[in-house]
Amino acid sequence: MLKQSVYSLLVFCFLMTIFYGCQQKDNAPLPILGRETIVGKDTIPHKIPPFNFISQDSVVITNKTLSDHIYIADFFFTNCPSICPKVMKQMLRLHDAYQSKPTVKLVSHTLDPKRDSVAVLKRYANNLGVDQNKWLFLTGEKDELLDMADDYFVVAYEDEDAPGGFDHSGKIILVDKQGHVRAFCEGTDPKDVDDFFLDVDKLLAEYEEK
Amino acid sequence: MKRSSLFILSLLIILLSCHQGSYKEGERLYSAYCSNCHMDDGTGLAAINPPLLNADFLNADPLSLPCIIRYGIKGKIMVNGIEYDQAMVGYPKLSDAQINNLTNYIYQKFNYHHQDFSFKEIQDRLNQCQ
Repeated sequence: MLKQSVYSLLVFCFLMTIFYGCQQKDNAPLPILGRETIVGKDTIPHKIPPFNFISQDSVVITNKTLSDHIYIADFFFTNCPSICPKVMKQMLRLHDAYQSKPTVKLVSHTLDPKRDSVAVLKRYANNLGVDQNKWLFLTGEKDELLDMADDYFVVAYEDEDAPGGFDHSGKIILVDKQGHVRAFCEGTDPKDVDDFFLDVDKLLAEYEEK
Repeated sequence: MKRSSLFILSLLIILLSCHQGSYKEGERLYSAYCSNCHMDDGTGLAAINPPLLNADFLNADPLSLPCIIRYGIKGKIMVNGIEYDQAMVGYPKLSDAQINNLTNYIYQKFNYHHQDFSFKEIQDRLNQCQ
């Protein structure tokens, strides 16, 4: 009888430890992703470098425009016959879910500024039927756009043998108000995006708690 | 007597599995050529890529699909009350048989109540594409 009680107690304690331990893991803040730079005594975490692009409404968009927002970024082009529509479908999910959170913005960069002019991006955004104050479609200098993909840890390069002329990954990236990359997911995988929602909520909570 | 039964049974099994094969082939083709834009579940993407799932456009003229697959489509179209104006590329390298399988797969997968089109029906239609 005593042996059974001790045993039950041990099992209970074990389960509580695991439960508590898992809770603690969930409460850990999102990491800052990317390689740090050491300048003298300072360790500087990776940050999105200064940029200058044009939105579908012909507005100049820089880091300053987004400095008071957390944003969800991806790279695409309108003539993309491969992964882009599927990634856009997931970006739409995110757009719809965070409609009531003005802190959250979405930023889609084109990799193909030659064909994706401001007018083409405007038409695309209109057809997507989204809130265009919330979701920016950016174009600009091709080299700057391709280099920017690097800073977002998104593989992207021109390849005439690739479908549509560009080879790129479908990653969706989460950036905080200081320009740090805090999370990412594979935009072609709806289940991975399910987990990404939790990361966005966590980052939002980080700012709401302050 | 036993041998002929076995033969008939084998023949039946082969015939049945061949029929299963046409949807499997259609599914493979759908995944390779169509799902990127029209999605695995056929719901399309907003007013950019139209849905195939319960699309009134296809219901109105089911035999329009083979020509669209081979030659694509341009210009404004209305699907389930939404206007689409983005050109779709065609796939001229797909054979008549492949288009037959793909058409039948799309119709059986996305809730249309048509019997499968025969190879001859599809081939005749493809010969008349404008």
